[in-house]
Parts: sequence; structure tokens; C-alpha cells
Amino acid sequence: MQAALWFWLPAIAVVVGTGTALSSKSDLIKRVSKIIAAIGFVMVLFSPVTVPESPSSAAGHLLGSIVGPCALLATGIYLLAFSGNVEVGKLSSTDRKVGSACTFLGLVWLEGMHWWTWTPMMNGEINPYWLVFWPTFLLLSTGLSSGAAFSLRYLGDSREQESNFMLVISSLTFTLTALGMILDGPNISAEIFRDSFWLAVSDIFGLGLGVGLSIIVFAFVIWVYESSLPPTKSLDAPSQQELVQASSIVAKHIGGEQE
Amino acid sequence: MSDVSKTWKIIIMAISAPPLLLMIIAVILGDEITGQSFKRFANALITGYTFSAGLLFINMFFYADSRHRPLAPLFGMMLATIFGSLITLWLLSQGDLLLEENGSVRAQVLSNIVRILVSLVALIMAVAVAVGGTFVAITSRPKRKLFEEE
Repeated sequence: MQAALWFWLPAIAVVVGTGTALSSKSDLIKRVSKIIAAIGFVMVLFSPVTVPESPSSAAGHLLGSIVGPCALLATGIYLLAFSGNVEVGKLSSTDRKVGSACTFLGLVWLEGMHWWTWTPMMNGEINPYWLVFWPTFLLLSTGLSSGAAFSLRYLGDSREQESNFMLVISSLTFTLTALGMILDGPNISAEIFRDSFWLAVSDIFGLGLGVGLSIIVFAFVIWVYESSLPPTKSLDAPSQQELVQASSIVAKHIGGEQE
Repeated sequence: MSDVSKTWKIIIMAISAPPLLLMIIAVILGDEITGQSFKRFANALITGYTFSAGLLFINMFFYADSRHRPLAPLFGMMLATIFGSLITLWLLSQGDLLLEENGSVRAQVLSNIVRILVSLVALIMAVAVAVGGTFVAITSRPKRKLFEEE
């Protein structure tokens, strides 16, 4: 009951609040939804304090641990992207330096959680959800960055330089994953990381397949409904009189004789 | 094969190649795919289906708005979501899909939901890195001349 009140209810508020804020057309509903989502988020962050006995509160603990580096990384990428050559809303060169620093610090912070002693720990043990988040993030980053690199090369025009940059990011995340499988960190051994890696692979494949199946069902439901609808009534071909009338109206508006 | 489908095949291969290479490295290091991985796969599959079907059911309301609010597709998608939930509960109640740390069906369902949310956060961050990195790369380059007359 306590977990429902202090963790699940706020978690639902975050999901529903964010969804409503993004989809609603009313400004008032948008503002209220944002406030509800923010309050829910803070309550989820504090769940290790409010319901320490609930296993779900480990997710709140993880969120509290990664919110700093993730915010730094996201802010850094935003500042770097919009301080470059953009047509409108270009940021200053100082913002570019701040963006570089934020991105670097965010990456170092996340890496420190694996390779140093900053690993999210709960009751003297590694937070189990860190072992879900970290390999999933690395695995998806290396795949998506590689996909972005090849998209730039094959869909873009003269984008080899940008493609190479994305290949560097993909190689970096690939190397970090491979190193994690071979070398022990202070808290996470290579064996634990490899176990988590396989579980992350299972999660990604399972989720992908599950989501794909539900999309197929969704499409099937719509297809069945649309195919059961009666065919739309098509109009008769225009008569000779209608064609003459239409051509006279068109003739009035072209040619420029009156101007 | 058309150029477009060839390009898409290359991009899909580019996305899958690094994870597949990492799996090969893990196998070379002596890992075997354990029963725990299959349990996690099955749990992720049923939770992913039910979670996504629930979201698509909500999305069906927007579809209904553009079609004079028919009840049939709403009802169909609701059935699909309920079916997913019942299958999930039934499979978990058989006990074979319960992971070691969870002793009951309720604990497993809640643990699955939390894990799916954590995986979603990881996905959002990975997309931010990939898409954000692409934008950074594109905007960092000096502006290109489209025409010589510019």
C-alpha cells in the first residue's frame, strides 16, 4: 500500500502528465500536466527515502543517480548543436564551450559509475537497475550511432565528414562495452557485466518483438474496421452543360486580358 | 533490387552489426546463453506487448476522433490489450517465467514494468546521443554553398 502511494502513483503521474502535456491543445491543461509530472518525478526520486522497503524504490534510486549526468549530457548536446551553423536562434561561442564541458563531464560521470567508485549502490549492493540501464544504453548507442553514420553517408549529400564523426561515437561506445566485458571495474566485474549484457540483449529483443506484435495487432484491427466500411459514393461524371460552365469560369480567370 | 531498398538494408545492417559483434565477443569470452536470458526475453516480450497495446489503445481514441467515433476498433484494441494482460498473468502464474528475485506473480509484473521503464530511459538517452550527435556534426561544419551565385 505504501509503495502504491509513494512510488506507483507518482510514477503513473509522470507518464500520464508527460503524455497529456505533449498531446493536449489547451494551455491550462498543458501547464497543470507539467506540474503533475514534475511533482510525480520528484516523488519517484524520493521513493528510496519514503518507501525504502519496496524493491521498486531501486528505480527511484537509479533515476536520482543518473539524472545529473544525463541532464549534463542532454544540455551539452543541445548547446553544441545550437551554437553551430544554424539559421535561427544561434547560441554564442561561450555556450559552445559550456556545451563541450557539459558533454565531457556527463560522459566522465557516467563512465565513473562503471570504471570508478561512483556506481549507484543501495544497501551495500549494486543497484540492480543500473545493470539494466548501462548495458542497454551502451548497446543501443553503438547500434544507433552506427545507423546514423551510414544514414548520413547513403542518404545525405557529401556528408562523409559527419558520418565519420558518428562512426567515432559508435566505435567509442563499442570499445567501452567490449572493455567492460574483459576488464573488471572496482564494483562491477567483467563477468557480472557480461551477464548483464546478455540480459540487456534479451530485454531489447523481447521488447522489440512485443512492441512489433502489438503494432501488427493495431494495424490488423484498423484494417478489419476499414475494410468493413461501405465503399464511398463516387460522383457522376460532369455533364456537357457543367463542362461549358466550368470552362467559361476558367477562361475568365486566365489570359490577363482585363489587366 | 531498387537503390532505396538497398540503402535501407545497409542502414539496418549498420544498426545491427555492432551489437552482433559484441555478442560474438561475449561468446568468444566463454559465455553461454543461460535460462535466465530466455526468461528475461519472455518477460520482456509479454510486458512489451501489453504495455505497447495499452498505449495504442489510448491512441485509438485519436483515430476514433477522425472517424465519427466508431466503437468497433476501440473494442478490438481493448480486447487485444486485455488478451495480452491475461496471457501475461497466466504465463507468469505457471511459475516457469518467474525470475529468481521475484516470488509472486504480482512482484514479477511490477518488476517487469519497472524494468521496461528503465530500458525506455536508456533508449531515450541512446537516441539523444545518436540524433544529437548527428545534429552536432551537421551544424559544426561551415555553411555549404548551394549555388555558385550565392
